[in-house]
This record gives sequence, C-alpha cells and structure tokens, in this order.
Amino acid sequence: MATFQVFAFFKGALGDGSVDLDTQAIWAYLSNSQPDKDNAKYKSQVTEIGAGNGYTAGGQALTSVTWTQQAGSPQGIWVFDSADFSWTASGGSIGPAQYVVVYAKSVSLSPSDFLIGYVDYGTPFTITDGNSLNVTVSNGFFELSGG
Amino acid sequence: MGGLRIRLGAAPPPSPIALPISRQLVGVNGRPITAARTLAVARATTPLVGRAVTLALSGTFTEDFTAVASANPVDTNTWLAGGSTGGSWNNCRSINGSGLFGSANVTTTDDCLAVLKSSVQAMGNNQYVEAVIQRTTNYFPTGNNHEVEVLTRFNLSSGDAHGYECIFGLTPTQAYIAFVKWLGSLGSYQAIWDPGAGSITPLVTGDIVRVEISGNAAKVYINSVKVGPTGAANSGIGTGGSANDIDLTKLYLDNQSNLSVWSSGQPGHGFWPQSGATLTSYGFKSTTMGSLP
Repeated sequence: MATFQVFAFFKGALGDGSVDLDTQAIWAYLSNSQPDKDNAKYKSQVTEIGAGNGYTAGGQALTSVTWTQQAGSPQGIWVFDSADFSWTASGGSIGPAQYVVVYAKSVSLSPSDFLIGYVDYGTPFTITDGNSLNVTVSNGFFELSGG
Repeated sequence: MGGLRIRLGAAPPPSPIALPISRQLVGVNGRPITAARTLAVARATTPLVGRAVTLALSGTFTEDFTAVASANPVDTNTWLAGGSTGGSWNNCRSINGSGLFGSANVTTTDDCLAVLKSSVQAMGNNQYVEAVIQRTTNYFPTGNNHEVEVLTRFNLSSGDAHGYECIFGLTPTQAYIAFVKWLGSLGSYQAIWDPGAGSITPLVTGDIVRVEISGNAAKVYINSVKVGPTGAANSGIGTGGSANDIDLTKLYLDNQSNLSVWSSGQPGHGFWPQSGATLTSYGFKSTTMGSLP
C-alpha cells in the first residue's frame, strides 16, 4: 500500500473554493512523471500517459465520491473517498506509468482541472493486454481532522 | 436605667457623598479599576493527511518452458538475460520439450540469469514466484554444486544485478536451501539464510517451489509446506508451523546486522551449475509469477 500524497495547492483550494469536493466531478489519470507535490497546481503540470488500448485521455471519472464526516468517535474527522476503480488493457498495453493522479474536473475552461493528490506505485509498470491495474480505496484518499 | 433608646420621627441625615451615575469598581486603595477583557486566538491545527491506497496489477505471468522454442538466451522478448543484458553473468536457455536451464557452467558467481521484463508483466513490490522443478532421476553433480534459483525483486542491467535469490542446490550427495541478497556487481552478495548441506531433501521433477517476498520478509514453500529459519538472525531451519519468515534485514547468524532492503524489482530464475554439473539435468519445467497485496 502507498500513502495518498496531497498537493500543497489543493489545501488552499479547499479554503478558497477553487475545489468543491461535494459537487465537482473527480477524475483519476495515469502518469509516468514524478508529480511536483509542492508546486504543481493543475493537471496540465503532471503529464498524462498516452491514450489507447483501454486508456482514455483524461483518465476516468470516479464514482461514489464522498466528502463526509467519519462516523463514530472522535467527531470531526472528514474523509474524502470514492469507490475502487481500475484500468484494463485491451488490444495492447497501457503505460508505462507509475502514478495514479486524482484531480477535480473543471466546470469551465478557467480555472483548469485542479490537482488533488496522487499515489506512487514505486516503480514504472505496464498493464499488459488483458490485465488490470486495480486501485483499492478501502479507507478513503485523505482525512481532515484535528482542531 | 440605661438601655436602648429609640428616636422616633427623626429624618435621616443627608449623605455627604454624591453617588456615581455609572457603576464603578473600586480597588482596595480606592482607585477605580478598568475592567478590560482579552481573548487570545491560538491557531487551530487541522491536519490534512493522506490515507493508504492500494495499487495492484492484476494478472500473473505463466510460462511453460517445455513449450517454449529452444533458444539461448531464452526468449528475449520476455526475459532479460544475464549475459546479453547484464554482461558479467551467463544466460539461461530453453530446451523445447524439457525446460529452462543454465547455458554454461559457471566459473565464479557468474550465475545464469533470466529476469522477467516489466514490459511483459510489471510486478508489484510484493511478489511471488511458483515454479515446477525438472530434475533427471537421481541426478547429482560431480565434484561440485548445481543450484536452481528463484529470483525476486531482481534488477538486471549492464554490470548490475541486485535483488534476492532463493537457492535450491545440490551437492554431489545432498541438497540445500539458502537465501541470498545480491548487491550489484559480480561476486557481491550477502548470505541471509544459509542452513547448509542436507538442509532439505533433494527435489524431484514435479516438485513445486514457491517464494513470496513482502515488505522486509520472505517466505519459502516446497510443495505447499513452509520452510524457514527457526531462530534469531535467520538461524536454524524448520518446516510448517516451526518455520519463521526470512528476515531480510539480517545477515545469517548476525543479530546485530541491519541490512537495507531492496524494495522493488522483477521476478526471475537463475542457475549456478559449477564444473561437473550437467546443465540439462536440473532446471524448471514451468513458472508462474505474480504480485501480492
């Protein structure tokens, strides 16, 4: 398992309204470029892999996205979550890639798609024909707590 | 007679002090006190913390070496070769109808190597190899040793071979198991578990060996029975419930050691047929490799 890395600018976006986790479409895409966690702000700043063989440009929309307060004690822990998702190669390979990058889809041309965070596989991988990359979000992407 | 005297009908005297219009606090010395209230705001800490997300490649890679075309090195579309890729080591060869074997008798630690290309099937950092043994009946090498090897988290490039090797070896009379960390350059390695000659029963054709590596530990199974060390610093050898995981942070019998752990790489196979070993008498019929959670 790898820890979801949150982009620095996204923390600001939560406060100034650039990203609304309740209403915006949340997407994920594959990249083979090391994301600049401290300085990257928009999707265009972390290169996406090429489309084809089961991979669509832009990645895929995540489903069952929630931004909710975690049940139980202690109170005040908010969790950003989605359903598990995957990419399956068909007719050829997908990749190489190393990172799954999550972003908030822009509702207009400006501002651009806002980066939220990413997961590092640890080494470049290729999804070969008929195989899949399975992303299991068993406990959410991140939490906001404390206070 | 003295006593209480009450003056009836007398008016009270006028007060000599004018009462203030507003309420005023007075200190013990008679000076007024100004009641100022302050509220200092300390910054709240609300950490935004990433949670664990699992990325896992599905699918396994399986190769029936008996069905692969005879080649030396074995299919280079699938495998990186010790000689062709690494330069300092030897290749593995496939013999159609028989299996995968070393291609040459080694002279030093120039093992015969075949590492699965990540472009064919990239494996997660936690991975396994399960392979079927091919051994000529009652074969033992003459004079020296002959090893078949399972490689995990292995990386092979020109002049560099590093990762982990699990050995299933034969002496001229016995069998042994060992687990070794390869450090990179030719001849550079460390023994992590080395219980010695006679530590296992000689394997025969059809036996299944399985090696799992996960985090800082490895597990070895022979025909689904776990085989592993029993004591600190990977000492001893046991089977089933008495077998521990192999601790990748320890040198064999050195509890003070604290080895770094190779975290990634691909699975593969290798051979170490010394002089006197018959190359095609000890190898693998097939292999299955995959990722672990």
